[in-house]
Amino acid sequence: MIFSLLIYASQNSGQAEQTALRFSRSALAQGHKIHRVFFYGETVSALSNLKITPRDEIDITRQWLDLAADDDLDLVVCISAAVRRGVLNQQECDRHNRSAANLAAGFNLSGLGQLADAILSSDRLLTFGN
Amino acid sequence: MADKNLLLIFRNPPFADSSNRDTLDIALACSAFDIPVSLIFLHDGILQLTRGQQSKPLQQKNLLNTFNALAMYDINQLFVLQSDLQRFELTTADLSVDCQAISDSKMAQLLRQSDRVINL
Amino acid sequence: MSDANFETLHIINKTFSNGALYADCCKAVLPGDAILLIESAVYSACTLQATELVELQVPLYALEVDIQARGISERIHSQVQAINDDTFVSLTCQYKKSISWF
Repeated sequence: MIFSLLIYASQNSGQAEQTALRFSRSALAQGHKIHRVFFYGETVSALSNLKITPRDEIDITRQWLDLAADDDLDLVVCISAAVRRGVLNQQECDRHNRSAANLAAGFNLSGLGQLADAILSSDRLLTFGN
Repeated sequence: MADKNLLLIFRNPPFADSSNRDTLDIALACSAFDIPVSLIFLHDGILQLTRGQQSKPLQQKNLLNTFNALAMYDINQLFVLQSDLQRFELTTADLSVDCQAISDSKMAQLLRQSDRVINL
Repeated sequence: MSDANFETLHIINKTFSNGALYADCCKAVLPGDAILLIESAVYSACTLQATELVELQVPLYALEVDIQARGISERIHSQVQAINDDTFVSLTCQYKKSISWF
């Protein structure tokens, strides 16, 4: 089975991302494929590499990256959601003439077309939100 | 046409959060990929569609312009519930966008017939 | 590829206090569907709270990890089946699609 995940949550409220991560780990362990994880809305605020996670808390962003490293996940961040929240890759940083790019390495900025593609290319689309 | 259709659910009132705009953006993007898109407004969602909204003093974009432009993107299937119209003492004439008013059971069928449902 | 026998898996993650959310979800549920309670929604799996959901006469599931996290294992309605993450994944395969209510 090919899954895609739509993450629409704030890391400051709720546990949607933790649930999505556990779901992803279990799906991959069972031999399913995850075509894409699409980060949308408030979720993208937490994908800045300037974020400092308190030492006694789990860094969810790190966990996505660890999972992606193990299983070659496509982690796509909605570009319009990211730019309006000040989460920029180098290209957007240059385009908007900002002082620094801060998108966490391992995540790719792209358009909502990537969500449309995920809908078309996957057997299942699951939304995790709050 | 794509082999999957998509239903988008709106459940929030205007100006409350960004979920309405975010859902609309999904509608436009998926339509550009030839995915047949339908919209349904549940509970407070219907309040986005009422006539007479003036968002200028709030310095917010009015999504009604986009809702009214959806036909240009071949998005013509907009649904509201008869029970929600009654709840807010509205008729379809009070809505500034062309919608079909359907029963609760028709809504359940609509959800069943949809291949993918996004509900932000 | 689709080996689904069942229709829609409705996934709820808010407590029963979100009346409108539950009302909309319950209206949408048809025979052949199921409801999965996750995160804060596992409180709706408790004996009294689950009554209305049980009346829908569809399979009810709740995520075990969320039940245990909240210390309510002893209070779960007998009609609600507690499941682990692997079964969560299996359910999403068995049902043609999922709808998240949050």
